[in-house]
Amino acid sequence: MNKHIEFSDEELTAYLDGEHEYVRAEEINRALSHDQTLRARLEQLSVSKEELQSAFDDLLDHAPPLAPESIDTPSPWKMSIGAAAAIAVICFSLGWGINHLPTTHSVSGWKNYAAVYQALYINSTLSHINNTEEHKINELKRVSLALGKDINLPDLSSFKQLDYKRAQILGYEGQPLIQLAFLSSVDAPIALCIMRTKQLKEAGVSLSEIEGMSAASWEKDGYAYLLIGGNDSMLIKDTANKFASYL
Amino acid sequence: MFWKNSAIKEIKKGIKELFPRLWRYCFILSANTERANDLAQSTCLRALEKSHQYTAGTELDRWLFRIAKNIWLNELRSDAVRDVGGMPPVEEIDLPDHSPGPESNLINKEVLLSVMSLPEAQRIVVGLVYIEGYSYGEAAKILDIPVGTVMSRLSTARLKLAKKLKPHQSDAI
Repeated sequence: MNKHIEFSDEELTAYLDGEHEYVRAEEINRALSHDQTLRARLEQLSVSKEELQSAFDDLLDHAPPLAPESIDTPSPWKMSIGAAAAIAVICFSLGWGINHLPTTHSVSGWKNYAAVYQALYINSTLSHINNTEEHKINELKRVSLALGKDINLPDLSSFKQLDYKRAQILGYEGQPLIQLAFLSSVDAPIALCIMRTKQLKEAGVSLSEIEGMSAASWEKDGYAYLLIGGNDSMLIKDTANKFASYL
Repeated sequence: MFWKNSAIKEIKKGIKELFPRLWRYCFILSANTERANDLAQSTCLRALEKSHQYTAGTELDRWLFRIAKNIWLNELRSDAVRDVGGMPPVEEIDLPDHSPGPESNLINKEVLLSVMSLPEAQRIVVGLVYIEGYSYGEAAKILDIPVGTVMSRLSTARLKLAKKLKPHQSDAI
């Protein structure tokens, strides 16, 4: 007489899926030769994986195209916070100081990289960030150290339509590139990007369009600025003029 | 820096190749094409931001899927639930357009709806194991849950799917 063994639905599922590590497969095989109830239970659990895969393979054709420029960029743009900070520390410890940092890069180059990065931003990228004032202040202190210029929270918090969210130290050709990100109540997220330049020339705010986004650039006191995001050129212009007046 | 650059290169190249699969997984998570677009894009962005955490030559697809799941559960899901007052009922699931035509299209639509109407936890495991082809162990790691939970969700999902799809299943296993 055959001994009756109980198998759980989980075990039978693993049996059907060929995950024999989690199941008494040989015992199930033996039981199936005489246990009609077990065969019926397996039937109740049976689905066609091919049919599932076929239905969901159709979805692959519905995936939106990935914007090539969002991925096909040369790599040096991204650098970890630690690496960027380390470079800044090394430069200072070697006695180079701010004005002796190498500046072989072209300004337009970093703007293009910053724009490609910004093009990936959507409201959901920032909307969940709710840092405390203390956190924001500490973050800005770290950023100011890397940049060699003080950026204070009140400088970023006086805009009706913009909600300051976070600061990041990125890197371009070995130098810190600061990104200050804002959520806009009227448009896509906006970022103020800042890099040091060796040239001390002044350049007023000029508007442009980069990667399909409104942008404003200016240079002041050895720093180059790019404000970019969304398509509201008036918002970009007004905000850029305000930043240029006191940063 | 070399390993870091090679990781970034691999992520950029990999995202390009994996994007349709990533988007499909995001659709399974969110049950909505617009939210799948946002989630897939956020996942790519987060992967680039966290590239220092990725070791070149390891399983990029699983890493991306883990990021997508975390963003969905921790950040976007609550917004989606707020927007529609809960997850949508099956008749309101936003399936991509299927052109009318061969019977196979209709069957595919029925199969899609059956899977998408499963409770979220079961749907996600079905997506990883039966659609993406991950083993139980791999799915458990991606979702950060025990293998036993994967098994339990799959068996419950199988019972429901088998009941719904029985009439036109001939090669079921």
